Amino acid sequence: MSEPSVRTRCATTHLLLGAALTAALTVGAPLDAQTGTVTGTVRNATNGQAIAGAQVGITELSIGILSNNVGRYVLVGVPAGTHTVEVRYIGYTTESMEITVPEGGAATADFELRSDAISLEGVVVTGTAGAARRREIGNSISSISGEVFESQPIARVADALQGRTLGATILNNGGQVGAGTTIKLRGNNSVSFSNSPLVYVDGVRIRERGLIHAVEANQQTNPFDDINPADIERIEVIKGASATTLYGTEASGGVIQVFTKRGAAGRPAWSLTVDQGLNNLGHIGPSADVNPTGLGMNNCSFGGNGSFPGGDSQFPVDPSCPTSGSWLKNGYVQNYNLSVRGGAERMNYFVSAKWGNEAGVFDTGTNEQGVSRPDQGQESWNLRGNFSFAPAEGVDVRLNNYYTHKEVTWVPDGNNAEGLLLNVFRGGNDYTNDEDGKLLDMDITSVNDNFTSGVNVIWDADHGISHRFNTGVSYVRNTYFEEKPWGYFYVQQGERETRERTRRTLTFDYNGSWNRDFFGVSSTFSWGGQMYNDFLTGTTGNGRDFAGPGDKVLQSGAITTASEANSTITSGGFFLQEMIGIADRLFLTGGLRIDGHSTFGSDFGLQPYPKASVSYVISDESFWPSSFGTLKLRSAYGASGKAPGIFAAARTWTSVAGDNGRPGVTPDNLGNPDLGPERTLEWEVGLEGSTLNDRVTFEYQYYNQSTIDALIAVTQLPSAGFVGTQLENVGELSTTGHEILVNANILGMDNFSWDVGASLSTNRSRVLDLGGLESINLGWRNYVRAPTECTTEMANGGSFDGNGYVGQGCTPGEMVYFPLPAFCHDRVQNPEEVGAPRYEDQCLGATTPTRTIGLNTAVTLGGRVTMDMVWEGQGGHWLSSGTAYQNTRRSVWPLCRSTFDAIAAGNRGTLTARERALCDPSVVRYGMWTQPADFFKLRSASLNFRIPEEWLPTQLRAATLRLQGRNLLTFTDFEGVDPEAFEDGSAEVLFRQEYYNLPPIRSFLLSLKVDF
Amino acid sequence: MTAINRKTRLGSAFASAAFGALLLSACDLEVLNPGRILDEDLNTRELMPIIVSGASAEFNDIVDDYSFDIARLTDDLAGTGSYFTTGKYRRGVIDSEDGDVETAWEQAHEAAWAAGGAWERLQNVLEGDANSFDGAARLFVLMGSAHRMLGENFCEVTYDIGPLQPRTAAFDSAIAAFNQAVTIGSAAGATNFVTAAHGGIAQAQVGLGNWTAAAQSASMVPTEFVHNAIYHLTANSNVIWNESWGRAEVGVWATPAQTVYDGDPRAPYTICGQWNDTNLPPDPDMGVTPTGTCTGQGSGAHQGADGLTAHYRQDKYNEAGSDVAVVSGKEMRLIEAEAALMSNDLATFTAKINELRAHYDLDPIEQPANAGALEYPNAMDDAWSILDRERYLTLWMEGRRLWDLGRWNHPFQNGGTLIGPGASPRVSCLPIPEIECTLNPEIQNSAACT
Repeated sequence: MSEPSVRTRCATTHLLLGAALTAALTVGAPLDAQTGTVTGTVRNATNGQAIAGAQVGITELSIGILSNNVGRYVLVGVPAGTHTVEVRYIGYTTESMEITVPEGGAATADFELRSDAISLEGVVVTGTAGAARRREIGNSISSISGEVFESQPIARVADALQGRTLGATILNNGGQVGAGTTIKLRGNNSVSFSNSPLVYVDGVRIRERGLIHAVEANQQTNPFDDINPADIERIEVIKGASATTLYGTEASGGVIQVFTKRGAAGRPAWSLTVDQGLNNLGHIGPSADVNPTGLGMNNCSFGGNGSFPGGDSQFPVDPSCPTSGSWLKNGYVQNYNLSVRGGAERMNYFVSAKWGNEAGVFDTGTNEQGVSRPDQGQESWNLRGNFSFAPAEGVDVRLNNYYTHKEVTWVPDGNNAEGLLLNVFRGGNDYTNDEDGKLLDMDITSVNDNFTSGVNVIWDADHGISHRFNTGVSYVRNTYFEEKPWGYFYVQQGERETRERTRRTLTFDYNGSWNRDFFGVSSTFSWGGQMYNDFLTGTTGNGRDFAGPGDKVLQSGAITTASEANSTITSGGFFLQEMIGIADRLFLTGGLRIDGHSTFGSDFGLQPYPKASVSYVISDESFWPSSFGTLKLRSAYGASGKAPGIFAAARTWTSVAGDNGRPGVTPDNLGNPDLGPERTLEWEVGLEGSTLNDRVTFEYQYYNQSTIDALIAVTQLPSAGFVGTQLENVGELSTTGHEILVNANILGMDNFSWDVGASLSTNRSRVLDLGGLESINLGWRNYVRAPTECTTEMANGGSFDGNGYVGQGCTPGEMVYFPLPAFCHDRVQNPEEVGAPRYEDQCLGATTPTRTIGLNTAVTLGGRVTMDMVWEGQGGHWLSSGTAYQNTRRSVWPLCRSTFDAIAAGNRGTLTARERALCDPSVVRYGMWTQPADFFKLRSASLNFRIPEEWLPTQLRAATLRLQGRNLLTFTDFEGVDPEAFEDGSAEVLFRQEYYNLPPIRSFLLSLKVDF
Repeated sequence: MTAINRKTRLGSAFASAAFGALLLSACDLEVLNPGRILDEDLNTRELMPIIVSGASAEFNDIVDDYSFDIARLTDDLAGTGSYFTTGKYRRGVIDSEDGDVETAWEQAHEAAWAAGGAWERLQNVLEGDANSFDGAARLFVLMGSAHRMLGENFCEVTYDIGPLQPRTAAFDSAIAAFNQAVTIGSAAGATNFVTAAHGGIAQAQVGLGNWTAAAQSASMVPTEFVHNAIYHLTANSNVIWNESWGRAEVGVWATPAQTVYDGDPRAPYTICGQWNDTNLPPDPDMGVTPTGTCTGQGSGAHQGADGLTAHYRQDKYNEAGSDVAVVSGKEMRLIEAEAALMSNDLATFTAKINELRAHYDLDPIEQPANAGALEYPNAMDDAWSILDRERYLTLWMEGRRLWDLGRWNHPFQNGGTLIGPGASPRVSCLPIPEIECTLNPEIQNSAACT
């Protein structure tokens, strides 16, 4: 990217920030009356701690203010008389109190708010056909309150879910800044399609995963990460088909709905946050005593130490090593976020702007001409404007808009002959003759533009009838540029590739409900429908063989090629639901959704999805001792689905360039007019409640999913001619699991509070049937395997290092089921024998985590200092270290030094089969470097200090200083580079492997937040 | 309930119903994607050349893949790369579950099926004109060649979800297709396809052991004739070029082309990296020094993709669009020579070999004293050794070596190796792939699948 365009970008950013400020200043107008005041405090009802930032106001007077750092507020200019003061805070129940203000005097109103997450009165809207109280819902639903975003170190939205959302597995995919996360809810339930949940922002569906794979970096961005965390009011997460039925086809992976902040009546309330910090990566690979150079990354000019006099022969000095002596550095991070909210009785606004620049950890140095190479990292800016107005009694109209622009510069990485880590990690046995710096001459950039605009209309008509209508557009444009300059060592005449993908999703969503009460029984009848229209377009161009140096475009190449993608998919459905409430404690719900979809076969028709649930607040019964607290028992059953791919149902041909580029056509797809969605049926049973005066809250559920008519790409019989696969509804999968959560306020005093939380989620995804196929190879030894009958060999086969394999110890004749997916490859069967290893193909276990543990704790001192930590563990899965395997083949792997030495000394014959299977380059197998990948990480830690008001200028309402760190500690026995460094992980593929990817980095930030 | 309230509720219900109706009526649930072609849209006369071109593309897809896989499995090229299969293939091992076996099997079947499907469409659209359409002759050459490749490389075959058959069934199918090509090509005046079909018949007759018929068909193909699988820089590039120029997955170092036949113009190569250890075999730990001749041409600049081996880059396919011969007059002379050798006619044998060598401006050979036997490495002192050399060099990297090694029971099959250990015996033909065994009930319990 040339320098002038950078200047333009910055100027644009400043202009937009200025515009946002100007707009905000002109919207709100301060009130000025002197008739009386209302004062008081806002506290957390559970632990007694002050709540800062709560909206306190008298709506009919358009008077409002936010509580300060110690929860105190003062409403001035309140006319004498009786008024209702209302307090709202995201994630907490809304409370109100009637007060009488004396003329020229003051009234006091103190509030204690209860967390929505534990209150059965908390209202949720996701998957419920309109707003519903938690007590009415028969399935589990997780809420992440805005308090988390206010008080925790959240860099990306997915960070907020990590360790906090039951049933969610958040996979970091590598350490390059900008690499997207992968989110899975309750494991995998599809073989052929994405297992990512659907994502809605303020009722508008957005793209849930990246559009373009950054080929040379083997990563991609995720539009979900483009949402500014500081804009979020709360997130609701529903998992499994029993909860997502009303979303119909495509929702079996779950639904995440993000709600952003709204304005509030009162004067403009400004908030400015400034972050300054750094990204950093510690020692890479095996421990420093056997790996002093960190696989050549930490130290590329290593001259030797006591253990390695003269240097490390596996990692010789790289002549292109940066002057710092390392390929790594500390990357500077800076973010600036400004927001304002305010409004009047019938109209309010929330406007925000953010600019951020984050450098990665690579020291990319300079090229041969002394020019600085592109720096890995990202620059982004976000704008949001949310406006609400009430044009008539009972009608609320909300307009929500946001726009994000992000540029990510990558370093070539992963399974890539031109990847930096691949070549550095391989020491001298690489593709560059150990001058790895020349790889960094390649310029790789992703540019994302993400715009979402939506309108919500809520009409609470008379007699319990209400209507909600959401419509909006999500527009995502991803562009990818890759340039190997003229003179580049690998492609001497240079090459450039440009890819562009644009996706526009239109959402139309209506639901209505009619609430009635008769004879102590309440009835809520709901109806509605949705329609989505997805338009995807894109082009890919390639130009190669440039005439000389300089900035290029595609046509600079002597040879150019181009391709285009273009498709439109429409889906629609409607639903009916009835909920009966008895004595406001027993709720029975039944519903049906019916869907059509573009991709269904012509003979298939519509797809029905039923649901039913029961919720019973047993603690409301008279026999329940009030000292026990609250308890809700619930159970739910439901179905949702996943649609086939574009044209999977039609018989089609594709254009090809035949002889010498002349046009031709070849068979593309056989077609299947009966093709329909795969359907996931789920039942769930659980409970939730609180005890000890709400100081302890808990939740538990067991779920059982069965995916029937699973879409499997069935290989056609080769000898019949057509080669390839055809999607057929022939498979069956199952997933079961437990989820448990406990939060407790251990101590709750005025000056000291200690909260802890713990969660455990499990998922067990298995393949029950593949429609006659035995196995589907996903790549890199990841397989989807059909059940097989236990053989004597499986029952009695050897094991390696005590690690079991699928079916080990089974009873011959019984069926053995495989996880979805499973790692299968050669494992040594005679580890302790001296001699050559004997291998058997064995399936080792799941490739994605089957259990997730979350631990969090927060301590508050004096109401001003808060320390918190979030730990997360993932486990029960296996991961291959392609790095260890491929390096061993090249005799460059620190853990194998003794074996390499023995072989070099001619002592191969003295080695055990285990030693040879792991470290003998001539016989090592990929499966030998496939290991359990359990880990436990300190995801984040932060120290917050609410600055005393007396230290602040009078213009400031509150200020908080925060020191925070992310990804600080890792505990694992995995012997590869890192259990979270995934090849193509963010591309939403089922297979997993670690293959020369940069491990997740850690970051440190110092933040100052000022409210005024 | 007041009238107004009733109205409100009715209004809501009507609004909802209207919305629902609007939703359903607006749901034109059609997939729009201008990139795909529906089957029925192809049935027009003008599109028939496109159909033939597509069938050709299907066939072209397989020839370079076969050439690459067979080169790694035999002594055509040394596997110097990092693919999972490279180390295994260079030992001479390949299994029914290997993806390359599946691909080779599927591609050959699909090429034959696509040509057959195209012929059916031609008959439907062109009706009687199809029998004199040159494109139809071409389809049958493609079909016959696909069958011939199946027969030459797979130990056994099966068709149309049928029972297991000996590989000769593939040669029978090939001959039937080639004969059809001769008939239609003659009617259409498509001389090239007629000649190619005669060459194909000669190849298939070799597979059946009918040497007289093979020589007779071969004699109808002039030495300079060649019928290629066509490659193109952007449309369908040559795999061996990609794997030796784009990266260094295979190399010429340690192959007979380098160790025994060095300098023959039929097997050109460039030394991109020189071993630092001059001993044989060299110590890989001493590394490789770039010669500078291959700078900038991908990872093959100086060492194999395994990071251990000096890269000697093949130059026969020296660009992405290099074609691969499927039928050539040069091979026909070799078939005639081998037919003569089978009847111990050493004079004819020598004459045919020298016809071939003259084409390359190579010195003629003298008539060998006897038929002799094959050795490894080749001693080149008798007729069989000469035939081995000439077929190796003439058909180098054209996917034919496994067929020769297998049918000759070549001594290389007994533990022969270029780098590292070699299996004894090495594979002499490809097994039926696991996918066919799994899905085809007719062969699931056959010896080939158990």
